[in-house]
Amino acid sequence: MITFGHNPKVEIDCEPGIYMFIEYSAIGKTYLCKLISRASEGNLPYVAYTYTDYIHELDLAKVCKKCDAQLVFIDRYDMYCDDTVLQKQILDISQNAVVLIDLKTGNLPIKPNGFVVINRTPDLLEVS
Amino acid sequence: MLYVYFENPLTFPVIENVEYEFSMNGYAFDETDQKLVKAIEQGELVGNGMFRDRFGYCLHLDDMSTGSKAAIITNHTPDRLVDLRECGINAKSAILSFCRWGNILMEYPEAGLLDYTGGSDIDVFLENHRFTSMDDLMYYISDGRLLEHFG
Repeated sequence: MITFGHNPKVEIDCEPGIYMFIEYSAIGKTYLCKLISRASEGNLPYVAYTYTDYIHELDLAKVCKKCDAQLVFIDRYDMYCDDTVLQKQILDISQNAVVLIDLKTGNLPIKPNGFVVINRTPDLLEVS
Repeated sequence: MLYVYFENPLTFPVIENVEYEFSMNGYAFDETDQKLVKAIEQGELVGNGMFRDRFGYCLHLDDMSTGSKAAIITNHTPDRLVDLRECGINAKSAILSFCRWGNILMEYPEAGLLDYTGGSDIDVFLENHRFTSMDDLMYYISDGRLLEHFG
């Protein structure tokens, strides 16, 4: 279980692997991505990667290696899911980290270990 | 009328990057936008670039879901094709339920659409059919379309 933050507290109940969210908008994915991004600024081994990082050619593998990432959030993956190099990187990273992916399309380019949902209250954001 | 495409008809400029498009434009929100945000976010637009989320917190419009942003863009951009690839099934359903004009490109829905209309009419054009009821549209997409093509 990965936990961090307070107000809201974030709990992620997943083993290392790749997890997709259920295909709904407005469940709190991008909000979670921002919380992970802020946590990473506090030197926690977390990475939040989104389309802006992709078009700026930020190397996901290098970023994850540098902080020995345990938690990685891939936001807006529909916009760049065809990149086979990135697909390989995500597979490699998922050997040691929980990789959460925001992908709406039904044609998954990577086989996930499972699907997750976000349960939210004002005080708690739970991924399971 | 809202035109729905499962493949790009190549007759409109396409909006693919919804986040960018939304951030680059200002929108005069109307009643349809409120219905869309209520259905998708369980929230409401409160003006001054803010919306109230389901927990009652006022947040900047930047923090709204990509699905809601795509829905609002559809409602305000009838001359372009909005790519809904980043929209969940609830956002797609809200757009079909409430948008009265515009053009949307969506993947053939794998999961079931939701009906947010409460029995009100829709105005959707898909594959040479005009639909005024969400029930009829949902039936066509789930069964009728296949019967028409193969039966």
